[in-house]
Amino acid sequence: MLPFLNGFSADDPVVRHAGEAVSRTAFVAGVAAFRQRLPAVRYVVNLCESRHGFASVLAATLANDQITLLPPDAREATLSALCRRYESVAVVADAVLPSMDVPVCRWTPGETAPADESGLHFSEDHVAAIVHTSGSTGEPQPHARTWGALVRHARSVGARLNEHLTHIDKVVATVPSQHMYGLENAIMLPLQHGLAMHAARPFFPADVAAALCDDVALLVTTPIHLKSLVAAEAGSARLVLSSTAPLADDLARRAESALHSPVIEIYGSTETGVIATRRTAAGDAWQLLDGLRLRPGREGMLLEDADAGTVIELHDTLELLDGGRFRLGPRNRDLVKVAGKRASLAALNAALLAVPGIEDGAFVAPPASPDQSGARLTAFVVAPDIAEADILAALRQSIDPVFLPRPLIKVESLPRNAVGKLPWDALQRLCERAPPLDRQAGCE
Amino acid sequence: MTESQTLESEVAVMLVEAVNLDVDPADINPDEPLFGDQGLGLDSIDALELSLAIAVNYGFEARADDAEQHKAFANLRSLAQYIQAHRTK
Repeated sequence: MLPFLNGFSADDPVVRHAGEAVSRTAFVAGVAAFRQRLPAVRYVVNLCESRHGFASVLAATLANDQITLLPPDAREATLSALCRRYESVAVVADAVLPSMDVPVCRWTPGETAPADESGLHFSEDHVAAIVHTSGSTGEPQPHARTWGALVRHARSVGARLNEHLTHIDKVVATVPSQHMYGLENAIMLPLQHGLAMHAARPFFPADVAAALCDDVALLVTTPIHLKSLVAAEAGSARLVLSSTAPLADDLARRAESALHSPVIEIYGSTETGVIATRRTAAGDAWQLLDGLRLRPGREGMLLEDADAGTVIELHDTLELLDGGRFRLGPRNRDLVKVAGKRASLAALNAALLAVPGIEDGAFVAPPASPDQSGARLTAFVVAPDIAEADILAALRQSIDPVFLPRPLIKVESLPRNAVGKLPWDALQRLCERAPPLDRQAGCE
Repeated sequence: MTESQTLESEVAVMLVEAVNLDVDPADINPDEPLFGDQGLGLDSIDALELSLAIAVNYGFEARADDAEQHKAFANLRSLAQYIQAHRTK
């Protein structure tokens, strides 16, 4: 059995919000009250935006022997698909309640019921959460996590960050709790190390600066947010974690200076969770978390987790160094990542070619640039008889909107070679020749 | 053109540049949604880019935690009104 709250005394804050603190005692009483209201279903979709709501509902679900489902986004189509796949589902939210044909209930702060202070210990084998990634096309892909795996991971990340975690007043995160990176670092990391969570999810630089205010904070964020924080010269932190997209070393250095804090980049994926860290401004080698081991497999690199007894094949190519360190090799050219979501170019191209009126077409990942954090995909199409807007409208039906091409460029033909393939180099050259970004009028 | 229409056109140009959209700024319907599945289909990354452009061009910081701001990003017309009310330059 592993505790939900580790390292908190009864009066220690679990959540901080606008000057108010929710003690461990108050948090546990809130969970006791809410679990009585949870419908008797097998699965609970947790849409709560506040960390207080999210963590409370996660705890209540574990206490009721239910399984938390985390969707890739909160669009109604996504939620409906999830509810169709899992029978016996309820949805919990704390802001906008979606209208669904399954039970929907609202979590609110301030409820209390008598609770056993020593409670909230859960079995390691309990499937705590199933995280869903959007997948490049079609159905969300499920990734199940046991309570034991979530706790072990949070504690190995904590062991790695140990020197930075002392004297932290709160953890502020700009990422949703529903994705693996947020779940592990904005929720599990603080819960397992006696650290208070800042309840809100600040978004704009001014919001983040206000959330950090004068407290000693750990900031869990992304390269795109770091870029905006650097530009706005907002706030300071004791430690910053970054993930979801590669962090350029130049941006890492500027962020360290602007936020007066080390910036630790996290390497991981939804399948694996966090597996390694590096201080990007100080070097490009990653250090595996303790207890993990890499070894070459038949296709790619295999990640062994002795404690969990799992072996997972990684998507990226890695160059092994000594002492549990590695460097990322050339990127797998089929995989692209936008806004923290991963897709296969082959799958995106298939969706593009399925649009009526498109004779030929291909997506191209943006070339690496120092500030690639916000970069989108480009697509080239041969489609003389269909307007760009119609192509985009058709694509929107079949792929996640973050992968919609910007720009979408019409060409007379694609540089296919003698066997009909599109060499990567030829596509990159096409990109370089593409008119600059202010060419809107020329795209007709 | 009225003063508010002029600002709308100006904001449309800023928007298209900030988020690198494939549309002519003049073609943006001031009432069509900026975010979500309809309209321009912007997402959260675009919102951050837009907030930076607003800070540079109009001298104030967008905030997501006031209710007014939530409505402000609904469409071009509301965005221009929000900017008009808060601009310092």
